[in-house]
Amino acid sequence: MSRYGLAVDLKKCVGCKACVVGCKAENEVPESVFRLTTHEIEKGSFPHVETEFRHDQCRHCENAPCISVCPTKASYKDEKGFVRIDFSKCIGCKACMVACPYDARFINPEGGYADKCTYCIHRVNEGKDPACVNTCPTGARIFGDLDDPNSDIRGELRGNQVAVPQEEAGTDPKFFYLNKKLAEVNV
Amino acid sequence: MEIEVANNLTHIWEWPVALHFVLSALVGGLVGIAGFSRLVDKDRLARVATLTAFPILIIDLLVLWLDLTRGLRAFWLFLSFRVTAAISWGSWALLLTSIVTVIYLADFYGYIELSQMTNNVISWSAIGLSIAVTTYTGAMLTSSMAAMPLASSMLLAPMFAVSALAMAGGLLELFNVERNISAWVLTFASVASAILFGFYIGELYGGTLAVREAYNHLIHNYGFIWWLTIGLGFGLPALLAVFWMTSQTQRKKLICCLTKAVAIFSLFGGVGIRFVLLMAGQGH
Repeated sequence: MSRYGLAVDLKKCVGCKACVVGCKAENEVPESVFRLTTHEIEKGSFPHVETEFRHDQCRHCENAPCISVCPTKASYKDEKGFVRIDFSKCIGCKACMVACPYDARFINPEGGYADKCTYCIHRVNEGKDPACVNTCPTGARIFGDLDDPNSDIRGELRGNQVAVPQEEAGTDPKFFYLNKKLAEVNV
Repeated sequence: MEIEVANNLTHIWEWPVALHFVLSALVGGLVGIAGFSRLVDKDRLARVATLTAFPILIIDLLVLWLDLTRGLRAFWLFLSFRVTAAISWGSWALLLTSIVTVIYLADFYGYIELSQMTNNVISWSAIGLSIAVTTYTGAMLTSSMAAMPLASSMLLAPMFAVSALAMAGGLLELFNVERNISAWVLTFASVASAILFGFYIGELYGGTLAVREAYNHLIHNYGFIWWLTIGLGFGLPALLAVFWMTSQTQRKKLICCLTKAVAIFSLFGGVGIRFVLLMAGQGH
């Protein structure tokens, strides 16, 4: 069984937001909401300034708190380890949004249900990469099977400095930052 | 530097959910008191508690339902049950509480007659449901601790429960329905204050870095209302309760004023603590 994950190499990310646009177009995400966002953070003052980008999206956590708090079982984990939402069962109580430490979920303004990144499961099922990975011009986003020792993501995780976002939350996310320099910031 | 917030979300659960916390606390407390009163044959108190709980319950369910973005699918709450989801427990507890309340009202108005055995079963059920309804809101917050470090204390659910009893007792105290309720209110108010003290110490000294950061956020952004709630809503009732228990005064007017003050302050504290913890907990 596959266990998919995503890594973002912050040394390669230039903050062009092509991933954001690609996600929005591929998944027909309504106006004013996003399944994926990027934020630039800054540290220091001129001339010693460092900048880095943060990518906010669903981390498809192993211990996903959004699943355990969902009262209608609308949020669930599928056989590939993707955290998914059965829109027909979602009542819009927003418990999953409150429980998510990554602010990855939002209420879809057109349907009223909780929505989020799916790692483009429809594309993955066809053997393609998610739209954000496919669109990234610098190859900063790497997607693949974490259980496959020959996958690109496993190679990148082996060869780089790896950071897990908000590790203290204990959710065991399947999303990693590579070559991260700056500390997390509270939004 | 300033960073924009993804999807424009700062608070996800807004005032309707905080209001639901308050109203469900009152309903849970009142139904628990009604159940206990029926067991000890205090029919007038049981009747007033039930009659007060019923309209609050209706408003509470309406507020909760209106806050859902897909209210017409609310039936899914009762077609599936997730053990780890506090809302699952809460929705069933509120449904059963509604049924118990209707049965009590039907009994009071003579539509049905409950045997002693049935009455005992329903009254004990009311007490059990009272515990479920008053604790589940605290459990709701605690179950989101990965994103809400401020609510990561296991003391939150019992504190909400005892505070709910103090609030419900305080409301009945203001109605002058039963003399003995004063002692209950004072006792519950003191216990709620003691648990809050434990919660507070835990936040200050026992928590992780994330908890301490969340606490700093609370003090920085909600400091005034937090200290007002702690001082007036929990500290003062506890002090007045201690004074009442130790003074052995026979001056009826003084006792009356003291218990009414504790009732009002307990209601204030119960409302304040729910609003502050919900809003500050999410804002971090």
